[in-house]
Amino acid sequence: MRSASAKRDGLTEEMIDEGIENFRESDKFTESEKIALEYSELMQFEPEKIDGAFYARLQELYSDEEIVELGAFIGFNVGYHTFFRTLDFYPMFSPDGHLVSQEESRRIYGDRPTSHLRGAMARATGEGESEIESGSE
Amino acid sequence: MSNITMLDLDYLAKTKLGPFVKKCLKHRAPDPAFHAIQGHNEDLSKAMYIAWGTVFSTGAVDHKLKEIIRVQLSRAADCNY
Repeated sequence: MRSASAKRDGLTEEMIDEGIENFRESDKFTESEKIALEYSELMQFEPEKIDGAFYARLQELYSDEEIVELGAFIGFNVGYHTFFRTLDFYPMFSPDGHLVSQEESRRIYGDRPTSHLRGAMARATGEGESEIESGSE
Repeated sequence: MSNITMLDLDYLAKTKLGPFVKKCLKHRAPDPAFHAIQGHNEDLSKAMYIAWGTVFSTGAVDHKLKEIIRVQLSRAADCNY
């Protein structure tokens, strides 16, 4: 499941993967975008590292209004993804935008997060049966 | 099976959440499961949907960047949603 408007604005799965897995070394992101991704990563895994020095770095690239916006967005998502994970349900939309049952969604997404699109999209389009059977993503 | 019953979208369409479910179906984010789960508490689901729309779709920070962050955090939490 992806934001339709973000896709319309040109966001691709490759950019998402690059932004998550390789944002520090990537030349596809600005310094502002990189520190926002770092902010998010730290908020999830090492919030104790987000100290005054980190906020000073943020303030070189973002206004306080934007920092509050980013921080609230990140905090909202950290909490909701943690809560929703415990409920053990699946998206109602398939990766290609069709409403599917929970059984079908589980078959498509498997045990990995939806963001692992390579496997999920293949399963949604019927091209990934071997991946399902092998459990690979 | 979900640890909390997921409410049927046709049922939710007849509640005060109807307009918000419709928006989820149009925009795909958040997934309508947002209301299928939280619709057990309609007022809360409505309030959180509005909060979600505010933090996700308004403001000065680029929406595409927010979408990358959203997926980043979903992966980090091993959340299927």
